[in-house]
Amino acid sequence: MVLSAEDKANVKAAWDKIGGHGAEYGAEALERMFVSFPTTKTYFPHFDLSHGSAQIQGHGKKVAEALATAASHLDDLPSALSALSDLHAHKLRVDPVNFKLLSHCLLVTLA
Amino acid sequence: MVVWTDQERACIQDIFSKLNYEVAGPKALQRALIVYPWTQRYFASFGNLYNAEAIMSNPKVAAHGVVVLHGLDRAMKNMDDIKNTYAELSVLHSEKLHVDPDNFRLLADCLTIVIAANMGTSFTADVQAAWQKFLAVVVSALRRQYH
Repeated sequence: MVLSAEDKANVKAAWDKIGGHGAEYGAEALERMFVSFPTTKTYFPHFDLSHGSAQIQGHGKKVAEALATAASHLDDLPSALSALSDLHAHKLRVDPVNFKLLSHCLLVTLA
Repeated sequence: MVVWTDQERACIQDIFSKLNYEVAGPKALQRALIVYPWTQRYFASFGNLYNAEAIMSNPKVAAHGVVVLHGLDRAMKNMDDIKNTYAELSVLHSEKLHVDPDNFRLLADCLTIVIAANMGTSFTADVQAAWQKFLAVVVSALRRQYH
């Protein structure tokens, strides 16, 4: 899947609108995902998943930072995200279907 | 058999009461056709779908968006038997229209985003969860008659 020049411009514009709220939106997206799609909680048995938990806030920040990295490396996403991909595939062993669930919840948060 | 809590029923009724079918339906379908372009394959008879502007101003797309929402309205009014309410629709989408059922999920996701934008912060995580459950039941009912 290749991003066109227009796609990249749209992504940059959308990311700029997020401004400094990345961590907050990341945390909200995670919480929405855990509530709407409870199977995703199975990857976080070690987390306190109650509303407003510090661990969700912290993890939301990590997710936002990763997205920021991605947004600033639109021309070589595969290599920019390769370490994260390895982590999720080999160490965390997350079924990739869950990435779609989180990205849907991120879109809902932004909407 | 799907079990709905009173809270879930209330959430779904509330969402529909705030929904303008004439606005949300077209918006959701337009998004699906633009964001997931392969869905256009089912609408060859709708004329000009060449770019986002064409899709957003296409009257057949808009009209069909409203049809879809009225279909969802039937599910909302028959929440305890969505499976049978949708039996005919499922056969239609499978036997006559030959729609890949994965596309139901895509349209459902687009509608969720339109609703979230419309309801803003009142579309809380709990409200979203009830809505996602409703959509999952709807999509599952639509898939049932495929063979």
